[in-house]
Amino acid sequence: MVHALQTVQSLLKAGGHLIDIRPSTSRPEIIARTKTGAQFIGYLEEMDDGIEYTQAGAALKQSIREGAFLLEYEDQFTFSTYTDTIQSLENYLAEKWKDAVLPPQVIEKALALQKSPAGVEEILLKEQVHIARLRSPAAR
Amino acid sequence: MTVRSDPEENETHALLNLIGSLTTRQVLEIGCGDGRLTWRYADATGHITAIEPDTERIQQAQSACPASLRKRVEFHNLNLEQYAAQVHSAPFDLAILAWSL
Repeated sequence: MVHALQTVQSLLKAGGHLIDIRPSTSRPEIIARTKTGAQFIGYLEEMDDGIEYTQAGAALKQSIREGAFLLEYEDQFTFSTYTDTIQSLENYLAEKWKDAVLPPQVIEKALALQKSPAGVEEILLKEQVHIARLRSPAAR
Repeated sequence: MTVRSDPEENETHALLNLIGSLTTRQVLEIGCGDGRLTWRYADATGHITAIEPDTERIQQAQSACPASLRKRVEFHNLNLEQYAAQVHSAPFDLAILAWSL
């Protein structure tokens, strides 16, 4: 990943910028919205425990330490995905996020809520996402 | 299956906030996927070179590219190393790594 950042830098003009957007290392939350309110039902799991995000963060820090980039700004935001049912979320993940796993207990909780009087109006997957702006040194 | 991703546009706002007043005549988006994010920031930048190694996803991006952006967005079905091997200068003002590092 450090090599990838060096490659990015080689493509930037001197003083050019890099914006990096990637999920933070916190586990994505799954929330069921029912007629009576929102209910947290568990976390999404990833087969590799999100190790690539940790490695990406470390690579970026190394690039900053080595002076390849200067960190100008960083922040976090919430990225939410809404589906109508837990099955829809499962299908969506199977298609778009192949190493993500919905734990069986989360599915069971959602299905139990779907059958309850409160029902499920929406399933919400909430991810915390890191965003940073970095600048390549003006002279290399 | 109805799926809505970031209807609040938090990602777009965060990105546009960082693009701000930067010089962005030439932008490289690394891992553009199906172009979901590209369309959202394109109006704030100049020419966009969008690269994506997944053939199916970049075809989706090419098909979905709004007519108004077709002259300003070029797509390459390449990964970063393959693309860099073809470029012999440092032409970009801004690179965007969106969920792809």
